[in-house]
Amino acid sequence: MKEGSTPKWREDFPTLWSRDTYVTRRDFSRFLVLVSGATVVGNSYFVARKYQEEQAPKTTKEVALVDELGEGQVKLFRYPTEDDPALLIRLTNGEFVAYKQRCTHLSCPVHYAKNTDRLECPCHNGAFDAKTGAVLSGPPPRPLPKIHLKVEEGKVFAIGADET
Amino acid sequence: MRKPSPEQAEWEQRTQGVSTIMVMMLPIFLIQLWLLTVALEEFMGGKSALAIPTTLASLACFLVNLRLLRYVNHLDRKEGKR
Repeated sequence: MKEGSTPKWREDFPTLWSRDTYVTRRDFSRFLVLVSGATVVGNSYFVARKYQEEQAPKTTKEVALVDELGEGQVKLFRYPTEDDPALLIRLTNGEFVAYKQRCTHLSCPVHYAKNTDRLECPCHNGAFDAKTGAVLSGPPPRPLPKIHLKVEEGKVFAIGADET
Repeated sequence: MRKPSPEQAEWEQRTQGVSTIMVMMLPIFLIQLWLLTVALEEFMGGKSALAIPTTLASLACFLVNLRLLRYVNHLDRKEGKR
């Protein structure tokens, strides 16, 4: 440093109000750009998830034994990945149906109400038809994504899922 | 009224420059926040059709902010030369 010149660090700690205002606003602008970059990273996360979901292989998975569930009973399983909770339901007519457990409104877990034969979301009182997955009431914008099943040799298999 | 010294006038001018940039950056950043919430809400609803458009729009906003920051750095370099 040259003798008599102001050291660099002193520039960030000014004594005059006009200079102080300049320094704080300059630093705030820099911070704003940093956070602006962080939001881009946040948005990119959703792109990465979209790509990941598209790449997920369609697999066949054994879900339950036919005798395991009585009429009106439910089994929780995960399909197609361990991060995707799903519900297997044996309806009162003996038929098996399965849906992804995430409500199409804001992803709250839905549960089966046997007395009304509906899938209900406790967060915002959304309701879906257990036979078809169609929306019956509440804010969900779309039906529950269905998981396709196959019954073979006394076992229930998940063989594919509708797009979310 | 006392006339400001040339140095003080220059600082006030510089502060005005930074303030202008800041005022331009803030709405752009608010747009980015809105884009992020749109993408988040869509993701929570199990959809992903807007993921790429919102990311591209957010990236464009970030590049504009970065361009504006260059002007702030330019003002700072002027200070360093003093």
